[in-house]
Amino acid sequence: MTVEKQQELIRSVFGVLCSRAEKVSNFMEVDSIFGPDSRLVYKHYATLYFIFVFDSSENELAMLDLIQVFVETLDKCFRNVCELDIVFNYNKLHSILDEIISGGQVLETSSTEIMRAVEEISKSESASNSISLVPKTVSGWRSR
Amino acid sequence: MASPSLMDNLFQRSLDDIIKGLRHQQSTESTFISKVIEEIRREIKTTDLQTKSTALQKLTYLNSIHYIDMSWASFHAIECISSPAFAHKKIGYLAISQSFNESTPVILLISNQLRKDLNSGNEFEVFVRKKAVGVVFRLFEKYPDAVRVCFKRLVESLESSDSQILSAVVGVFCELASKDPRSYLPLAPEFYRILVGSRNNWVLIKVLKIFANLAPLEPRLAKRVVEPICDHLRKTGAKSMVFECIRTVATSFTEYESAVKLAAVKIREFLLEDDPNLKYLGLHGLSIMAPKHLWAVLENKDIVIQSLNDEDPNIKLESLCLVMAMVSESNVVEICRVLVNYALKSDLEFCNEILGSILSTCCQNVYEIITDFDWYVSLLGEMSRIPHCQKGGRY
Repeated sequence: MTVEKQQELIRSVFGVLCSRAEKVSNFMEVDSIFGPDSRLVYKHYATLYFIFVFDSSENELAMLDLIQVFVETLDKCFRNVCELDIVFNYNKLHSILDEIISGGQVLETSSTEIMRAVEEISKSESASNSISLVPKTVSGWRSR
Repeated sequence: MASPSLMDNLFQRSLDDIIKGLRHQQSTESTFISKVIEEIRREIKTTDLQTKSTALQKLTYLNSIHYIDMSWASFHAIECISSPAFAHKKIGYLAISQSFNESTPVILLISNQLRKDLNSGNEFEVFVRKKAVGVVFRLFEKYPDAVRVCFKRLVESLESSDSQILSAVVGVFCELASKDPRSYLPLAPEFYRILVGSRNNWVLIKVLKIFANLAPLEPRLAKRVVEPICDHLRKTGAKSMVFECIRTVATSFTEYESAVKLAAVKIREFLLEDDPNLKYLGLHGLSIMAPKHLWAVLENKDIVIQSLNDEDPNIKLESLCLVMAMVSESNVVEICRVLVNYALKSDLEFCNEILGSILSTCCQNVYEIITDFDWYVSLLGEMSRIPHCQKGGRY
């Protein structure tokens, strides 16, 4: 998918969500954006919006639960996650997401299990990074 | 191009540095980004994999959040995944999953590295095997022949005690069975075993979807499976399971009166909830039942009509469809009266939905349900005079 197409999709989703009222259902049909039979589920916590797009192979309420699992995991990982945590932890966010969904299939729905896997991955990452003794990054130097 | 200075080589900005930098720039963001891309283009050419992967990570971030094209870096991504260091591999694979597509020239080079990584019996093996199952479906979409090659392994995985592997495999079969159910009918006994034995709701939901596709093909299968499904419907505590059972029964087990009646009872429970999600799904369940079991809709007529007034657009639309499903020769006048009243009170969008529905239902089968054309013509006149009406051209 080209970057232009990605931008267009995100703009469409934003357009569809920003006019939603507060206490209504969390589902929307998005055939016009993502093709036939597609729906999205969203949940909104303060300034953070979480949106999952899915098709008829998924159950609506299960998808709503999955957002909950994702947010709970983020909370465990960052202790009361806020917008800044997500902005500065791009790498970790992907680690978490990769444990939950891979190739479009849901793999794990227990936030404890996800955290355990993410911690192991972080350990492997830092172990492989400690090969370089001299920090090559500016922030690495500052912290010495 | 000037060769990189000593200072440039010594200090590479990390992803964190870039993010902080971006947040401090308010008006000159695009200049900042251009400078960063220039740095990345220089850094990424290095043979040092640590520097290369940091550059790739920054580029992936810019691609993801700021829509910067990264297709030019595809070969560098391949180099990163060939690093023995886990951190570099991870950065490389993320870059690949975000930016590669079928037309990426170097895509064939991945398969060699993938094979090495999948076989490598190191501590990452566990993560990798689970991910592999999820990825397999993507292959099947493009190369249906591949299904035959992996089939034996996939079926074996149905007996796995690892819940992640089972979830992924059942998910893959769910998608395959929805496209070509007949080919997966022979696996019914395996799915039956899971249906009666598993306690994992995610897996059960997928199995229900599979049976919704298989049951119409084989009545003897439907007969065996309907009772365990009703059992789940009666006993489960999870609303997602309740809804999936309702949907399965309403879609593929419509001849089983007691199952349908049980589903209707559960739908009513959803309709009476305050939670708009449950209410919406209850109405949705009713519309799946409507074609063969209109009695269920009629039984809940009051709630359906009341829902026309709901503040939730999903609920309003769903109840409008249900109201139209209830229309017949005997009640068309009354229903149109109720609907026109609602249209007068509604916003532009819903008003036109209502009017549109009235028009299309009335003219179905060459005006089959209209017995009094004088009344119909005056109704058309009334509708065209409604302030929000945009359907004038259709008369």
